Amino acid sequence: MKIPSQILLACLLAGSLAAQQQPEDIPLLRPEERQAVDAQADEFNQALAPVLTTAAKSTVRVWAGKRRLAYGTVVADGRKILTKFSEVARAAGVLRVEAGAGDVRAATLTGVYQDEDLALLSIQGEPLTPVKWFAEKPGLGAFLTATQPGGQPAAFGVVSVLERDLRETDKAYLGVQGDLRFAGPGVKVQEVTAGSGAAEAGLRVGDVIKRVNQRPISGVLELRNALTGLAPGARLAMSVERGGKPLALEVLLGNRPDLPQSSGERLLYMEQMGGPTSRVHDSFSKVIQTDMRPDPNQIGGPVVDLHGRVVGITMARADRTRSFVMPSAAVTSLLDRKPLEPAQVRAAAPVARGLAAGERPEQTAPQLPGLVPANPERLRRHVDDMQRLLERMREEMLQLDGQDR
Amino acid sequence: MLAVLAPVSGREPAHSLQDLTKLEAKVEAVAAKVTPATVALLAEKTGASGSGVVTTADGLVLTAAHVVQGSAEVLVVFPDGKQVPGKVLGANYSKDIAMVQITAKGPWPWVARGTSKHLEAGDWVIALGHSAGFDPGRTPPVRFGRVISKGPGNFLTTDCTLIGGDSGGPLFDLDGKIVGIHSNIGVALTNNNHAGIDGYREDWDRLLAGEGWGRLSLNPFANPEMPVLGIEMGLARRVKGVPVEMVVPRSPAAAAGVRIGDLILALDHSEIRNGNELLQILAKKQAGEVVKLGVLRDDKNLEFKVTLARRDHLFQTQ
Repeated sequence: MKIPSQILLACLLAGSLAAQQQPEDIPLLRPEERQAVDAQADEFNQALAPVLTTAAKSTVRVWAGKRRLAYGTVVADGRKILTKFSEVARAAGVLRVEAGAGDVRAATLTGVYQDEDLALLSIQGEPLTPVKWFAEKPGLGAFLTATQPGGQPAAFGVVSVLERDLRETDKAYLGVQGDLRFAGPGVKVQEVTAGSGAAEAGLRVGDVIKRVNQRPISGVLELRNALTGLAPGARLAMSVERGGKPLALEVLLGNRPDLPQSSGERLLYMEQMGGPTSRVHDSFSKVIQTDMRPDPNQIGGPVVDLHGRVVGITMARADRTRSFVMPSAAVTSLLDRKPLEPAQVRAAAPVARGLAAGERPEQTAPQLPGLVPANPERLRRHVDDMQRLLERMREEMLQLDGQDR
Repeated sequence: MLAVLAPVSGREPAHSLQDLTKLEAKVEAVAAKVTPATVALLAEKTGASGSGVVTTADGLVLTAAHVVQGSAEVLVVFPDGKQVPGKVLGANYSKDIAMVQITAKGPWPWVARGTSKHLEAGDWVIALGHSAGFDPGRTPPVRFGRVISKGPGNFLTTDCTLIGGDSGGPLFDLDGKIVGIHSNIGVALTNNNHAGIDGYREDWDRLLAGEGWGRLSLNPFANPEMPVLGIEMGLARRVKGVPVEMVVPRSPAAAAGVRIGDLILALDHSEIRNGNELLQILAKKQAGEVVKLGVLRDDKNLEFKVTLARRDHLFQTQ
């Protein structure tokens, strides 16, 4: 994978033209404009301050040696810290948690929720103030603020997209490829995946899907939208047209095969425009998308609404436009689950490291000595791990490429 | 002295938590209202995927010129995945604005247009768009920010972060009216550029009629619609100001009474120290605007009112 090392400093968002300009520079920014927006930002942050005080007491910094890795949220009895696993895992040196001015504790990694890239640290000494979760989900456009331990905002943003599952593997799979030349309305079946729910229900090439659960379907994208939010195992009532005659079918949805998604080099480049991103940033099962811009080492802390209620924690800075927040209800149900022992996770790591750059995980997980996936849940996790490693390699290649300049 | 932007009375303040709560309620209301009208535009022929916004009940879509470049037809996709055919109408590439007409029968969810001319640094705005292409599992992401800088021409820069696929998507004011169309980005998170909605007004009939014209340029000074005075700038002296070396006949400067040898010292409220600064401030204006030009002539300070002209109209005979 070759990443263009020439940095194009201005990008049209969908065209093919690009021109060069000074980085970090708005060509026509006047001093009076800068002054106006800076003053407004100060004012805005001051107005936000009162909503951050309570949550800030449950916000910590996580250090390894002299490097700050992430933020963390004080949970359980005040002796546990929830933080971002991938940032903690690659750290060398003794872990420490900084709770406030001069309050620094030794910390040990005691649990891992690998699916969501979260880790639990245990701290020594007196308990800290555990966070009080607020389970109600903020609405579209609602104001969110990530806290710093000192009570300042780490990042501000709005709810860009309501809670959703980012994992392709969690989504229901129909097994139909639509004919893109078909003018519609409906989806003309061009291909049916063998063994899929569509194949088992008897759907055939040439059939035109007209309705799904009574909803009229205009085309391929609407069909995909209709499948959104459905889990494998769900049943669909489908009205199709075969040879000009209507036909009703019932489809039992299955699992989507793992398909690593490539976002294309141009988009990849734009994702990097505007600052560093988190290594693990798109494999979460329940997240709100926001336009907050926390630094990767500010991930893992509480997020509050304008009432100061903790509505979730920051999970990742994904790119220029996206960060992810796990809502409180999802965090608390995760914490009810028993985490993996750190040793269990470390045992898996050297195996996956054997992948070469550009190599893709197989559709079914390879059988490896000592790590035979016993059930679909573990199998999926394993493939996710490899995707994350590929992601990390991609990032490292980009960084190497950047150093050449 | 440089004039500091005075707070505009209509701008929503952010002094207190109460202000923020009011602001939040407005953003939430706008997000709910405009999401159904924020469409994705897929061009099968070029493979381009951009965004747009429906602005009439019968399906007139506003988008960026570079989104529909090279396409006569596009697929218009609503956030719920409903897809309908669209016919590409006109495009002005200099302003990066274009129109598409949904050819299927409406009514369609739509949003009214506002005005962009009054927008200044600090004004709150909301951006939507199908970032990174249409995603059937997601509504077009909402972004909230403010205007950072005005110009060039009817463009404006905000800190609503944009990425590929957002192109042609709408920028809204706090009343939920369309005030801009997403065009391009720079590296800085605060460098997201939008074509101001006012740019449609004078081009409306030509765009509806399907005309395509203009030239796309990310360099504001190369834009044919860049507003000009109609002078040639002399070489910089050791003093502040811009000496007038030549005045174009029948130009705005000539009509206002500017003469060769005048030293330009101010434009509206901004001090002009050199030629670069004059160009930069002019680029933030629009053709047709009346500006106050402060000049020094024979040790006397004079002020002229100049109606700016488009560069590409400067040498056209009237």
